[in-house]
Amino acid sequence: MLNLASVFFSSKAELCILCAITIFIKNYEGAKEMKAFVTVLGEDKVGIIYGITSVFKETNVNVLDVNQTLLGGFFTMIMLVDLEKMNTDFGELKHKLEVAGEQLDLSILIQREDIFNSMHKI
Amino acid sequence: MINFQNIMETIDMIEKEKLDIRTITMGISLLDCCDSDGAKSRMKIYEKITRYAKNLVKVGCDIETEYGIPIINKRVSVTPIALIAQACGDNNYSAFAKILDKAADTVGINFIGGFSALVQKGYTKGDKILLDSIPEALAATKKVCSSVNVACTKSGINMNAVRDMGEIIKKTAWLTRDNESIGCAKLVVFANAVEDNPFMAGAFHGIGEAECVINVGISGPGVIKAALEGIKGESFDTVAETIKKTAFKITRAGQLIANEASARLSVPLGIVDLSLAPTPAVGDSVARILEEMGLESCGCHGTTAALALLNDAVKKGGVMASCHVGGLSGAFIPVSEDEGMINAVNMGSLNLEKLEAMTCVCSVGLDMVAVPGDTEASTLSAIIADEAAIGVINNKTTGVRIIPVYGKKVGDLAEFGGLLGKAPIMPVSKYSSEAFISRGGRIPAPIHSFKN
Repeated sequence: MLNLASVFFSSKAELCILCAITIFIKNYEGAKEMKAFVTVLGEDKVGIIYGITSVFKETNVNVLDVNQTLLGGFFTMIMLVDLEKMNTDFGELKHKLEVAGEQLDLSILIQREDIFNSMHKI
Repeated sequence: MINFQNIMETIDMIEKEKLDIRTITMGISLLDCCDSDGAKSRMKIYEKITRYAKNLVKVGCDIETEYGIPIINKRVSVTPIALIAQACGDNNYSAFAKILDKAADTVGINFIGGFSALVQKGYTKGDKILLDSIPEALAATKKVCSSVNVACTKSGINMNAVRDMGEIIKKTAWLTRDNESIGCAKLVVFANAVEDNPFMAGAFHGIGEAECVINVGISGPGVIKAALEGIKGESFDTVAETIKKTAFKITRAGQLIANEASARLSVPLGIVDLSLAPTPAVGDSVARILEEMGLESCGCHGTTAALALLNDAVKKGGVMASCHVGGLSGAFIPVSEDEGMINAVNMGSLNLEKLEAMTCVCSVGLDMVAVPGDTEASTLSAIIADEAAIGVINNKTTGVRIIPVYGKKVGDLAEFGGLLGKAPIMPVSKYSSEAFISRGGRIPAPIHSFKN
C-alpha cells in the first residue's frame, strides 16, 4: 500500500496530500441496482469520514462496506456504496465529492464498479 | 467487495500510467445519401450525420464521468465519399469535405474520417475526382480526414494511384504550408485498409458494414511499460505473458466502454480495436516499452524483434477479452505522436529504414513521419510503394502518413500540436526513384493470394 501510495503521490507532487476516492456504481441492465465504490487516499486527519459521508447523507447514498488502512500517515479508504436511491445524478455526486476533497485536501475519483469487475474478474 | 489491490491497480493504470479509451468512433453509412444533385447529396449527408451522432459526445462524456476513465476522442467515420459523390456531376468534391467538417462541428466531435477512395485495382471516375480534390479539401477543413487504399493482397498494387498520391501529398503540403504542412497529417495511404478502423486519420465506414455501428479503440502503452518495469531481467516467456495479461485487462475495460456506448446510443457494437496508441505525453510511449525490454534506444538492433513480440502479445491477450476484435489491433508507431520515438530520432538511433522494417511487424505502417519539404513526389510515391509491398506480401495492413514539411530540412523540427505532437525532419534517400514510379500500371497480386 505504501508503495502504491508513494507512486501515486509522485505523479502529483504539487499536492502535499493526495486522496483518491473511487466510487463504483453497478447498474445491471435496465435495472435498478446502482452500486458505487469510494476510495480515499491522503494524509490522515480528523474529519475525513465525516466530510465524505456528509455528502452521502445529503445525496441519500447508502454505505454498504468500508475498507480502511493507515500506513506511514497515509490514509486509504475504499467504500462500497449503493446509489439506487440517490437523489441527484452521478455527475453532481462526483462534483460534490470533489468539492469535499478540496476542502479536506483530498483528490477524489468516482467510477462505476463495472470497470473494476471487467478488468479483474472473468 | 472486490479486492483492494485490484482497485488500486486500476486507479494506478488510469491516474499514473495514462490508461485511456482513445476513441469511440461511430461508423455511419452514407450509401443512401447519393443524389444526382451534389447540393442535395450534401444536405442528406449533413442531416444524417447530425441525426445519428447527435448524442455521441454527450454519451462519451457521461461514460467518462461515471467510469472515471478518460475517453480522449469521439469521432465519426463515414462511407468513402468517392462512392457517394460520384452519383452527382460535380468535378470537385471539396464541398463534400466542407459539409463533413460542418457536421463534425455541429455534433462536437474531434475528427471525421471517410473522405476516402478505394482504388487498389483502378480508378472510377469519382475516385479520380476525389483524389484530385484531397489537397484542397484538407486545406479547407480542420476535422476531415482522408484515406486512399492503393493496394491489397488480393489485387496487387495500383502503381498509378501510388504515383498520384506522391503528387497529392506534395500539393497538400504546399496548400497547408503556413501550418507545418499539417494537411498531410490528415491523409493516409493504405494497403489492405480495414473497413472498421476507429482510429484517424485512416477511419472510414466500409461498404460491408451495417447502417450505423460503434467501434472503440483502446490504448495504454504506459500500462504495458509499467507492467514490464516489474519484471526486469526476466526471460521473454515472462515478458510475453506479462504483456498478454495486461492487454487482457486493458481490453476488458475497452469492451465494457464499447458495450455501454452501444447500449446508450442504441447502436450495435462493431468492434474493439486492441491498439497501443501512444501520445506525445511522457509515460504514454510505445518506444519506451521496447526500451524497457532492454534496448538502449528505440531503433537499435533488436527493435524489430521487440516490436514483433509486443504486437503479438497484445493481440493474444486482447482477443480473449473482447467479443469482436477488429480495426488495426496491435502497436502503433507514429513518430511525432510518441515521445520515445521523437527522442530516438533526435538521438540518431531511429531512421526511416529501421521504421520501415518495424512496419513489417507492427499494426500499421510509416506513421506521422516528417521529411524535408523538398522531397520529390516520386520519392514519396516510392516510399508508399515499399510500404504497400510489405502489406500486400505479408497480408497485413500497412499505411503511410508522411509529411514533407514545406520549407523544412533535415535537423529541423515540425510542431503539429496536440495529439499530433512534433516530428524531427528525417532524411530520405538522395537517389531518385523517378523512372520506377513513372512506369505506372499495376504490380500483380502475389501468388499466395490465390486461395480459392
